[in-house]
Amino acid sequence: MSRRTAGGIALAAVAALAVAGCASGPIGQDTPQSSGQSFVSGSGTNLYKTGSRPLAPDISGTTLTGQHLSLASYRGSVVVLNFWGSWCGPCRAEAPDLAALATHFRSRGVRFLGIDIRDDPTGADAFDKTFQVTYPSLNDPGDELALDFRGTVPPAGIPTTLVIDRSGRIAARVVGSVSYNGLKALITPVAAEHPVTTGGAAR
Amino acid sequence: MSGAPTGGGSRGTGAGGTASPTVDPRQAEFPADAPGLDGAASSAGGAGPGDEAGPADGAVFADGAAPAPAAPGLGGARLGPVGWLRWGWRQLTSMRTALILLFLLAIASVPGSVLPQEGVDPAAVSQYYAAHPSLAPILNRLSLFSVFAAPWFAAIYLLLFLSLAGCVLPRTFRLVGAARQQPPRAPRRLARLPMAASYVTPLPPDEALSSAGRLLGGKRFRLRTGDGWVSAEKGYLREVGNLLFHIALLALLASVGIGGIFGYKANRLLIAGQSFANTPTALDVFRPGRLVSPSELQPFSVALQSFSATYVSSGPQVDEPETFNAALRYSAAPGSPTHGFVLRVNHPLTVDNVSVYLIGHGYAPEFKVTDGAGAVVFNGPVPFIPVEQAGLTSEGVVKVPDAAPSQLGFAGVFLPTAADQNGQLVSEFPAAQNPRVSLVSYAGNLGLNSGQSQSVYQLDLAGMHRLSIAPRPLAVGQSMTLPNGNGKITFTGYRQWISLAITYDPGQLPALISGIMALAGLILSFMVRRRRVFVRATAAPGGHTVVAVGGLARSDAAGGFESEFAELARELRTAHDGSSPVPVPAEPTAHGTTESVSSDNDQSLSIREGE
Amino acid sequence: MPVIINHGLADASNGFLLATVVLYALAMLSYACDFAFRKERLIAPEPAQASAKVSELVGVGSAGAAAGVAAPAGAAGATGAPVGSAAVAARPEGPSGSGGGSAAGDSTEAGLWPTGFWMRTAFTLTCTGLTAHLAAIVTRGLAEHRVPWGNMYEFIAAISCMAVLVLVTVSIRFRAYYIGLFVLLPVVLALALDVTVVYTPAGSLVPALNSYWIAIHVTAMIVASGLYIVGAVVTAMYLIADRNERRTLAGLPSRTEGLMMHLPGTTVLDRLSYRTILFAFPVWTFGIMAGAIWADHAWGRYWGWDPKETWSFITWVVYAGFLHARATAGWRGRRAAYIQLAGFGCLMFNLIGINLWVTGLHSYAGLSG
Repeated sequence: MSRRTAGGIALAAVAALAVAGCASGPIGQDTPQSSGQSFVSGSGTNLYKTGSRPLAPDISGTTLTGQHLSLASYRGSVVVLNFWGSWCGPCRAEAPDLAALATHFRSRGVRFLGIDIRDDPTGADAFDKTFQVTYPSLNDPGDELALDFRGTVPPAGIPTTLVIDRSGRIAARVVGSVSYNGLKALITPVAAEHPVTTGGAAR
Repeated sequence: MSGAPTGGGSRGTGAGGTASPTVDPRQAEFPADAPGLDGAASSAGGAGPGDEAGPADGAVFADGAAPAPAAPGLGGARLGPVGWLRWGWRQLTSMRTALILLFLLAIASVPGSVLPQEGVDPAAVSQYYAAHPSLAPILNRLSLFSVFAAPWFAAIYLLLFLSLAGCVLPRTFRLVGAARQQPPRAPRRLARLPMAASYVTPLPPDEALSSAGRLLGGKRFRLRTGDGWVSAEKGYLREVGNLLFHIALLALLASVGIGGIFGYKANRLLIAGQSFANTPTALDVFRPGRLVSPSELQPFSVALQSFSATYVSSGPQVDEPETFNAALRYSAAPGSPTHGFVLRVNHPLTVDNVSVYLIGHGYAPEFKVTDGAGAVVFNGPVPFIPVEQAGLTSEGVVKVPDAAPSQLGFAGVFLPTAADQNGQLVSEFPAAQNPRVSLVSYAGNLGLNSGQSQSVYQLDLAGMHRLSIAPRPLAVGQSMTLPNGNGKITFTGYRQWISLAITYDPGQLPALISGIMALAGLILSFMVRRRRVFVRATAAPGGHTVVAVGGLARSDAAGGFESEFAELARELRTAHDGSSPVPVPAEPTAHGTTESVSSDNDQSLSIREGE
Repeated sequence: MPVIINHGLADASNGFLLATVVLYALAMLSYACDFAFRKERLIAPEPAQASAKVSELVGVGSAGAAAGVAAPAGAAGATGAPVGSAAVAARPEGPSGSGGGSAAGDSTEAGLWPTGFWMRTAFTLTCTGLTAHLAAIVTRGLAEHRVPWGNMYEFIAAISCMAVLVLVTVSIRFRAYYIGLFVLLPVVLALALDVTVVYTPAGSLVPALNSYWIAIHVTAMIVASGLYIVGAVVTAMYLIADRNERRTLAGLPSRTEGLMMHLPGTTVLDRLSYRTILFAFPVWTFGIMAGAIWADHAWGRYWGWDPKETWSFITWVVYAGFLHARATAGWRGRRAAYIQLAGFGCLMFNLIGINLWVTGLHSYAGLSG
């Protein structure tokens, strides 16, 4: 066997080993108990240009006040979908901004909808009262609604905010708490878009 | 090459090929630990585990060991960069380096087992920091709290496997290439081999040889015939086993790597009555591999209907758990039918190639908090974490961020079977026979509104002040009214929770197969001996033929070759109608002592084999 | 439903184990008496250079034709007697003729049985003790209705039983009766500690251990540990013999001269220890694999660097280093012996130290504190 072949084989072996070394974290580790944290404190904004926007799933559920609500009924409006929980610090930090933006954009056909994760309804209600949240929130104790988004733009943690355009497509995603100006800058262009109509009939 | 033994001269060039056949009996031999033959050579990867190979052994059993890496620059020739690389490569793949790396690996693992590790018990790490405030940061710098993720640890095992790969892979190719290799020629003087016998037979030499060949061939020896001799070899499976073992180790490492890259681990604490789905927002701890994206998680969901645990109530093992049963309902995807399952320790749930394990349990007392304004601002269970196993005394924190006039926080202790022992309230038994909860109350600013990430099990008291109400044990249904119009908290009941470990490891099955292959290769290489048998037939004056039989084994430590050889010699003699043996020509007077060496000891060791 | 412990059988088990300790102690005394009162040397100690000589024409199975070379009468085991003189053609009688390999007509047709009154007594006592030991373990298992290795007490009892089982097997198979005293010494010490300090009454398994895997994983570890113990003892003997040889060659007096009379040379001891490890290593490897499979079943991952897992791995690596050292020039002999003892040290720490001092998922010692 020539030296070159030997060298080539050895190189392949190195590559295989590099694969092993690149695996994240140590070889096999685990914690037996939960650390009690499952929210994201980092930030990250994803914008989706028209034409490459994923379609938001048609979710529906029960609000904290017991009504039944579905996302499809919001078609034609811009929807700002916010995943939150009353126990989550960053969610509480952004709550005043969201409430204010909800009021600001109400007349422009922008609707806000919350999805409440891992919360008991009483605490969630109290949260709404504290921050004077005027928009409804769907209760999602079993994570089914979060799961519905897995094919498109899954929430990587909470808080996560999605901006859905008038045709029901996801235009932007923010992971982490939003700021008033930041979210406003995301919503405004989407609100200015005209919906794509089929057959010319506008809703 | 420096130190190349004379007998192995044909291998001195290190071409890695097969030994060119010679008739020097030393070539055919398995040299003992002769100092003269040692030279300066280290048997660079020349033998596998279970071998007692001598350094020149490569000369005999040419399985392509690379000879010792010579010191560079010897002989006046200067090495270019390629030369240095080659020298470095030879050093890396030498047996000595492998030994050193093995020991380094073992030593490097020691701190990982003695010091608390982040990945195994983060709480213990924090305790260590508290106990050794000056030492701990230094240890942390050296990655001693996460040894097995440390870069220097990875360097050791990667180098080791590189050394292994560099040695094993070429040898595999050589083995495949040499699969049809012939045994060497028979040495002229078989008497010098470790095992030898001779006898006289009336058959002519050719017939004797051909019948010997048939006999050996029938025993599945590989044959080679020559003028007046027959050479037979057997036991190639040893090298196969050896290489299989080492390659399986490489495959094992690759499997672990694949699992680490494409798999994920997660944890979730689930209270009875709750359910969750396998999505990042629902998981308490989520550790994805490098190439795992959250949208690829298998979308199963699990609901905990109830959890029951029984404990030993008396005897020496009192308070120890007897059984744990978690009654679940699960579905593989939204819309799929749900199935029931009883989750127990040692009895995990497998859904869609993901495994869900029961690894812990505890109590979650339920509270209802009415704030100062009279509104119910909190109503639900709060998981408390056990701090001791005997009575399952548990601690936890209740945060009520939406209470008015100020946010409320409670640090509590839950006692499943509360009892008074010498004035102290303890939990006597892990089952909830007399549940009590005792709370220390705080009011102020929990710190949540500023956006700070907090653990749900810890209270940040920086902005809180303690309320002047003494904690007292509450029974189910009892309340505690808080001073200064802060409201009231009621202990409304309790539930149990389980903690689940969710793992997806695509490298698990390959790792298992690699492990089995490694074991098989190991056993094969330990059990099979490579051995050679030579037969020479020479016509003697007087019409008969003197048949000499000689044999040697590559490594006789496993024993048994003597009896095999004895059996062979006997069969050959019988086949040849051999009669009383004649003295071998007294030529080897130099060797006329009666001392014998290693083989005798082997014989005594293995004396009962084959019987 | 709690498991009912049969206390009668549990008490019987304790009784058997006490008897075992006594019997082993008496066996040790008998072994020592054999050393003290045996007159003949076991074997001429092998000078170091002799091993360099290429072997001569050695006939097969010509034990009967020993030419009066240092014939150890009643050799208690392996001998270095030359298997026939050179220049005399072999009588290929086959292996059955070679019998015990010791010359000068010792009574080896029995094969199984050692020679000399004291050695016979010692071996009988050992075997009787082993029977009592097995009875202790079996009755304990019957009392608890489970495989009797669930805590440190049972574990030490099982490992020492395995070590004595290996001792008896090796004694018979390789005629290595001389290792009896040395192997029994740590066994008796361990058992004495076991029945006093480490004792745990019979009980049932915690749920985490309640799996059929305990019969596979822990059994393998016990078997391997017993083999490792014997290997370590023989290696220690090898080191003593080696030192004795070197001092003899250098003309220096050696304190162990008298002891060496009854032990074979370094080569035999070295080979014996090596073969023990050859057997133990695959079993240990299998035990680690079985443990990994069980861990995956129970804890959700097949390897998590739990302290006990880590030290099993360290032990494996060191013994692997030992096997590699045997194949590396310059590392054989003494250095390899030290490596093996280091591996044994890791094993002991793994079995005892981890259970007592380090907490992890493996904390099943059953001891408080």
